[in-house]
Amino acid sequence: MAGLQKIFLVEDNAQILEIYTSTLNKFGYQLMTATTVDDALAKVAAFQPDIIFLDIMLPGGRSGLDALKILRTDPAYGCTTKKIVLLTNLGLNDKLQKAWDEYADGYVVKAEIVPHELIDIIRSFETN
Amino acid sequence: MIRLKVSQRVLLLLLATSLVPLAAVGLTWFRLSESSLKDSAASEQTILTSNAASSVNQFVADKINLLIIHSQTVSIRGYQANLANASADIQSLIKQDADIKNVALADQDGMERLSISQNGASATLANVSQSNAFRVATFLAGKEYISPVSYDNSHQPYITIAVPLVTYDSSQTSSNLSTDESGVIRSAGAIKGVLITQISLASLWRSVLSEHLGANGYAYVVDGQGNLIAYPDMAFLLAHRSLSTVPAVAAFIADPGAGAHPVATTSEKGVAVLSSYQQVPATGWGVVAEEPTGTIYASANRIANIGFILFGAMAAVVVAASYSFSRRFTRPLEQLAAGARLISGGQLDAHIDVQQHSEIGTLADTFNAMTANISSLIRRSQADSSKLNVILNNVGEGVVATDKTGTIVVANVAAAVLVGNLPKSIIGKPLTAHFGWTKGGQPFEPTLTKTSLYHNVTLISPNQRAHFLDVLVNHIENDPMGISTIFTMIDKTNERELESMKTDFVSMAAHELRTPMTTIRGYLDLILQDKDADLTNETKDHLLRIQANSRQLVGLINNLLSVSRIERGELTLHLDKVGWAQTVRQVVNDQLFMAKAKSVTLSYSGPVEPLYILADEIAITEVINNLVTNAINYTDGGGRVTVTVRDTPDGILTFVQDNGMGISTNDQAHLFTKFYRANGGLASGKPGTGLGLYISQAIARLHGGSISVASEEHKGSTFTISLPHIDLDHYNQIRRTAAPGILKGKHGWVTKNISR
Repeated sequence: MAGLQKIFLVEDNAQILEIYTSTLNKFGYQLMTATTVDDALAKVAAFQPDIIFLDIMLPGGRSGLDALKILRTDPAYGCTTKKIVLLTNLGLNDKLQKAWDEYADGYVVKAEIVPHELIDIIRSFETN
Repeated sequence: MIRLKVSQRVLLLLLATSLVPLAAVGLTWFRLSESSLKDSAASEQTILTSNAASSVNQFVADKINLLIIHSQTVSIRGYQANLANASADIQSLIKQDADIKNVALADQDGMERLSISQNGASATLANVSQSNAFRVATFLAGKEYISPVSYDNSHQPYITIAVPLVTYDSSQTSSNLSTDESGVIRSAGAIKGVLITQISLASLWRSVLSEHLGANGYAYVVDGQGNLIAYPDMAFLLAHRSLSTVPAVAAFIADPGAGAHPVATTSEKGVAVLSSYQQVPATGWGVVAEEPTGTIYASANRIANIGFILFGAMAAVVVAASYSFSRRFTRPLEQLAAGARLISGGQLDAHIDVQQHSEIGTLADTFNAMTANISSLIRRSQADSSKLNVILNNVGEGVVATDKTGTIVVANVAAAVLVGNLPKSIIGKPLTAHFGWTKGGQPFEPTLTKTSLYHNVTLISPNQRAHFLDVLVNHIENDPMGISTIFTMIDKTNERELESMKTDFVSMAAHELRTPMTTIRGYLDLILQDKDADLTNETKDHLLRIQANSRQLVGLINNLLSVSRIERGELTLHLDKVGWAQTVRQVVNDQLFMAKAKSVTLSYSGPVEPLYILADEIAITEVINNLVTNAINYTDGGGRVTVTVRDTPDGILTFVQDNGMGISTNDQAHLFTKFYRANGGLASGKPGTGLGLYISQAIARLHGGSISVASEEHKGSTFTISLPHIDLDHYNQIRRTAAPGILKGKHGWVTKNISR
């Protein structure tokens, strides 16, 4: 699979959003962002991303894990087979492990990477 | 087989020993008395028959004598001359003897001249020349005649006696008069007439027949032909004239002279009798005496009856005495038996009270002592048991023991409370009916044949509360009480809730620390990656230092999270095939820059083969990285750090050797302890959190290996990582069960490229 171009970034932290947006834009990706689960679900079907970067800790009651399950199980959003990478700064726990095992294609500890590693992550899906 | 009680046996024995001799004596006495009674009856009979025969004989002889004497009187002899005188004489004769019913005087031609009855009346005169009385009395020289017995109209017996009127030539004694004198021949003319009398036998018979033998014995008289002539019962006499076939009478006919000895025979009435007879010489009659043997022995029987009654009474007395004795003898035994029954029924306070100073009394005392011992033992055992129960029911851990079939045999309160029940309600039930343990979402199936501790076992109680348990499963071989497995449940629910809170806290803390670090590092990266940014070299150098330090800070947060996961046992590995030699070489290469900055010589030596291990690549890389970093940090400039990988039959050994400051023996012992820092810790000025070795050791152990240290102060240290060779079976199993796809792991991120 070459040329994953449409990136959907769900992140509530404005600074992180700025940094990641800036980085991805610099590499020429087509980008759509959302800051809550509701926001994301409202935009994602229309955008039809290749990859979704999904933060877990989100405001508004529903977490990124809720969104992950919905996107994977509800075909209405057209994301059941899309690449979804969880973004978190939380420690690994049972729920996260389960989400990773069942639904996620990637798992990123934001503090551990520098922004341009996002490109490595995207490219890891393009080559075998 | 009838089972007799002891008392019944004793009773039978006593009865046998006492009653059998008594019965024997009684029977012997009875036989003896029968024999003597028979002898006495026989002698009485002999006397009776003799007396009766002689009195009959005397009676007849007396009558003949009387007639002969009167025939010799002048008045009767001269009847032809003076009939009136003769009549007077005859009348006096009749008056003289009450037995004479009638006297007739016939002349020599048989014509009656006088006939006078008892009442003095004269009867009609008849010609009696053809009668037996006249013809016998006048036959040849004349002879007295005795007729057979006849009975008149009123059934009175009588006989006819006739004597001839003769003149005696010589004088005769009046005691034995007879006309039949031997040697005397009379001419026909010498007989002047005949005196014919009818003699009543009524008085004679009365006296003879009135003789009694014992209670029912009697006598009767027969003539020479066996015709009955006197019998106590007139009706019988009239009905039975001839008794010649009756054994006693037949014997008399056959041998009239014998018969003095009574013999046992059958009477004319068919009754068993003792019988004898005696001949009457004058008439040739026989007196027969009979006594029913039943009557003879009646007295014996009566006595025997009394004997039987006495015997019965004695038997009753003996039975009563025997019963009483046997009761007395067996009562203590029965008390013992009753006591034993009570005790076997569980009534251990039963006391056997036998008031006897015999062996049985001693036995009872021994018995009582024994039961006292048993109850004291049981009390002690119960006390021990209740102590154990108190302990068992007051420990916080739930304890359940099962037998081989999985049935609960012991359960304490804590265990029962876990399943909302009482211990007594679950004992005897299958373990699985109450304890639906699960582990990792699957039914908990511990190995029952060995002792193991299982963590994180879940048990949902009836009120839907989840309990998180540590379950210790102890297997017991050949337990005499039948206990096979003991389950000890340590309720970790509260600890787990605390742990969960702690985890959440750590997770949140990590999040709160990481987020600012993310933005710091993010903006730094944006600046450093910006080719258009116009940075002085100095500024750039400062920014790189900020980046390195922020990276270190992230590592520290990472370590804290790892420790938290190690402590919860949640550090899980994503095992895959890892070329260990390559990995180590790569780590050494990555660290060359830092070593060079510290003027430390870092070198690697190892085989060209990849040396595969089964490992979580990120985690195991962290271990070797940590050891190499430490070695560089603790080695002064000019020193050496040598990393060597060596394949051995027991596993792969990796040595990280330095010639730095070394570690004291005391520090070596605590080196792998959490937060422990050697060489004075913070005071040494060396970087580190005291978590690296702790985490590395935990990771090495999760891989089935270990880390050890050998060190000498001021000489240097050697850390050795020991890892097992790849287990291909395990690897193949992982490949089969793992989700398809390729894991691409880097520090801080991981992806799996799979088609969904």
